Amino acid sequence: MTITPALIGRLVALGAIGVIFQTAAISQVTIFGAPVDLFPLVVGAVGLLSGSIIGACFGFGAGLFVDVAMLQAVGVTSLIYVLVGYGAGRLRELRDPAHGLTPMAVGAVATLVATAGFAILTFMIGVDAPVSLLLVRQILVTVVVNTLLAVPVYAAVRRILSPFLPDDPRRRRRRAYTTGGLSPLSRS
Amino acid sequence: MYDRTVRRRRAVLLGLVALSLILLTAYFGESAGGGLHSVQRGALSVLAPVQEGANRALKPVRDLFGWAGDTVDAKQERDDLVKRNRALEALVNSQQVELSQYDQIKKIVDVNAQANLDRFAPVTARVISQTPSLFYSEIKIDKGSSAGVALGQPVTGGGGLVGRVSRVAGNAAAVTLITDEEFAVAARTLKTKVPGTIRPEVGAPGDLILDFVSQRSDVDRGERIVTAGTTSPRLPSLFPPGIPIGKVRRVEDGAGDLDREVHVRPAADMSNLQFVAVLTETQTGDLTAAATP
Repeated sequence: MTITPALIGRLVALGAIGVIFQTAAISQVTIFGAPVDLFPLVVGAVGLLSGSIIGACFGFGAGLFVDVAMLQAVGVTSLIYVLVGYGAGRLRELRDPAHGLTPMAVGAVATLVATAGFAILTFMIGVDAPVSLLLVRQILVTVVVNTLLAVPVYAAVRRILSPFLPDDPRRRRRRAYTTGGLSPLSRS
Repeated sequence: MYDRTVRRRRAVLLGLVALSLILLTAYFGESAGGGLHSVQRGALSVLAPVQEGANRALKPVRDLFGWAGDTVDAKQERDDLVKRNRALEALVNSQQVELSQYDQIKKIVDVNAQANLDRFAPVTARVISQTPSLFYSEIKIDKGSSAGVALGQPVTGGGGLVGRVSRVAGNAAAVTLITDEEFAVAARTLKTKVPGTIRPEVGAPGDLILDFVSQRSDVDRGERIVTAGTTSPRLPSLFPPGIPIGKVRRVEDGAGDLDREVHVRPAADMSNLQFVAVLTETQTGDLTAAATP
């Protein structure tokens, strides 16, 4: 996948608008007592669509933006999102998943890593908060909600990045089936 | 080519992780006025107007999402509030009962202090049953002969005279109320000291008559009526003097030409007695001189 200034521009715009949208609107919506956090889904979707390097870089930049905008400890969210974006990208590079429910699985894992990782890092850096069942419940609720929202978020991210992406795995699989086989890497 | 790609990918990952850790370390290592904190403050001042605008513009979206969540949360919240409401109602009921009991006991204490009845060893008893009739002519109390209660002893409560002990068992007793048709007690007006006899008005519960009051007597509406105590050594009264009975409601002409009929509203509410005091050491001797009011 070729990294172009236009792709970088779209990713920066996606990150900035996404953070503002998340902090101004989405984070104030609570479902079963847990605030909705779509950003792990966005980072996971970018990694799944663009690969590990772009996923990790996008995760770092988005996490840094979140930390700065939310006045959190700088570096915590960026560290977690680097791992989320890189992991999602590696999944694409290694397995090239074409199943329609892959974004849900990626979204669930990305949310779990992000929320649990954020909690663990927060405790490690000395924020004095009790570990309670409430925290576990909140993490599980967030994972469930994000799993349900993963497919539309993935579709939106894919629509934004589609001019710069290699063929969608499902479309590539269909074409390989009808043409007798094309290498998945032939266009990347 | 493959090795180069792998090396580049790993280098990017390690570089970003290391950069994150460096930022984290630097953030915690610097003071509140350090570079990263300054960047955060600067970003806050830049982003705040943008976020405020986005916040207003996206309110309908937020409300839409919030409505769904609120609907689910509201059900749980309603159930919690219903439980809380029930608990509070139970608490309020319990406190109202306690307050009512406190009021009744306070009235007993006040009457005892006002009429100097503590010298008659009052025994406080709880009303355990009440005659379910219109006239409420008898009540049962939870103190009997084992507590010093005996036949004929006067009973106060609810702010005035209630009646007298008419039957006694070991740990319970019956009290005939002043509204019973067989009840009568020597009484007088508190201010003008006009004597008479208190008896119930038959067929009119809650109304007493101060009988045998002459036409020349000066009795006004609203005047207080108290027990007279012993007025004749030959006929000693069981009731100490000065126990409030009630207030004059109205004055009418009596059956005879020389009599007046004084209607009295009882000081004690006979229909709502929870506690009463039995004066267990009444003396029937020269109590008139000790009248306090």
